[in-house]
Amino acid sequence: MKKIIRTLALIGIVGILAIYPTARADATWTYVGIQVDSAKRVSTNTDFCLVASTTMDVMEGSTSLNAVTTVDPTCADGTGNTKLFPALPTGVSGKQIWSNLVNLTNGQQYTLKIIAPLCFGFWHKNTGINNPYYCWYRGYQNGGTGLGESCNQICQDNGTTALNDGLYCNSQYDQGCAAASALFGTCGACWDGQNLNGRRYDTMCGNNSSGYAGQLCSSGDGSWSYVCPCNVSTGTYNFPFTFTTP
Amino acid sequence: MNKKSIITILALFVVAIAAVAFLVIDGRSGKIVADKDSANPTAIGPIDISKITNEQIVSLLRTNPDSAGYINKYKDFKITSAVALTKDSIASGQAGQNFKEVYQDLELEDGRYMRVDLMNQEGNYGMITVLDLNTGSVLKAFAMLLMQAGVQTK
Repeated sequence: MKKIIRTLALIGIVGILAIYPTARADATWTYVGIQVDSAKRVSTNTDFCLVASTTMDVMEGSTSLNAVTTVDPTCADGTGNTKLFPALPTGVSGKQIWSNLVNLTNGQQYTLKIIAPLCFGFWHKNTGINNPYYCWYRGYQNGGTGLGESCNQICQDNGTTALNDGLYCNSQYDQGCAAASALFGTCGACWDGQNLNGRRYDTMCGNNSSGYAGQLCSSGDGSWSYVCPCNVSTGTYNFPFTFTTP
Repeated sequence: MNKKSIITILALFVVAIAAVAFLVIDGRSGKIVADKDSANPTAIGPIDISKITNEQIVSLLRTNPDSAGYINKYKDFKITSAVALTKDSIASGQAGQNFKEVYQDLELEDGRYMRVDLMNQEGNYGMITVLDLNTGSVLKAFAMLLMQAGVQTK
C-alpha cells in the first residue's frame, strides 16, 4: 500500500512540474508595426498611397484586439499627397506604421490588418464642400496622354465616379494646382485663373498637354488633359499580415 | 500511522512542492516583457543623463527582469535610439498618435527620463524602454514586433 501511495505521490509531483510551465501562457505588451516598402496597383503598375482614414488593427482569428490606430497618410517620402513609394535612396525604407499597445500571448499566431480606402492619385482632404475626402486623377490611362478625356471617363477608369457638385464637375479649386503638380510633375508655374470654361490650371508642361480645365463632367477638350476630383471608392481594401509572437 | 494520515501528509507535501516549483519557475522566467508599466524592483542610483554611456544603459537594463530577459535572449541587440526626454517631448508623446503608453504617467521634467529603443540584428523584434535616471531604474519595457512588407491591389 505504501508503495502505491509513494508512486502516486511521485507521479503527482512530476505531473505538476511538467504541466505547470506549459499551461501558464505568458503574455507580452507589444507594439506591432509594419514597414511598408511598396504599394502597387498591379493593373496599371502604378504606386498608391495609404491615405488618411486608413486604419490598422491586430486580430486574433477574426476578433479585433482593439489595437486600432489611424494611419497618417503614408507615402515612402513621408508625405501624404505626392506619388507613392517612389524609388528610394539606398538604405531608406518605407514608412513604419505602428499599432496601439496590445497584450499578445507568446508563441501565438495573430494578424495585422490594414484597412484602407484607396486613392491612386492625389489625396485631398476637403475642408467641407460636398465630400470629406476625394481623390484627384489625371487622364492618362492605357499609357495615353489623356487628351480630351472627360472627368466622367477619368474617374471611371479609376473605378469611381466624378465629384459633381451639381453645377460644375471639378470645382474643387483650392488644391487644383497642387493636384496638377503632383500628377503631371512640377514643370512650371501653375496658373489658376478662371476662364469661360471654368478654371484652368496650366502647368506649362508644353503644348497644353498637361493641365486642368473643365466645366461639365461629360465634357472633354482635345487640347487638354484634365485632372479631376473623383469620389473615393466606398469600399475598402484589407491587407492582412500574419505573424507569430516569439 | 494510519493510511489516512499518510495520505494527508503526502497531499500536503505535494502542495508544498508545487508551491516551491511555482515560485522558482516564476522567478526565473525572464520573459521579454511581462507587465504593462511594470515597476522595477531593482535600482542602481542616480545617473547623470549628460554623461551616461551605452555600457551604463545596458547595466541598467539588466536590473529589470523584462529588459534583462530581452538582452539575454537577443544577444545581438543594438541600441537604436537613446534620447533624453524633456517636458515638451513627454507632453508631445502623451498627446501623440503612437507609443502613448511610453510617456503616460511620466512627470513633466527635463533630463530625468531617457527613452531607449533596442532592436535585434534581424530588425524584427525590439523593445522600448524608459529609464528613470534619478532613481537609476527601468520604468517601462514594451516589446516591438516589426514586419516588413509591400501591399498591392488589382
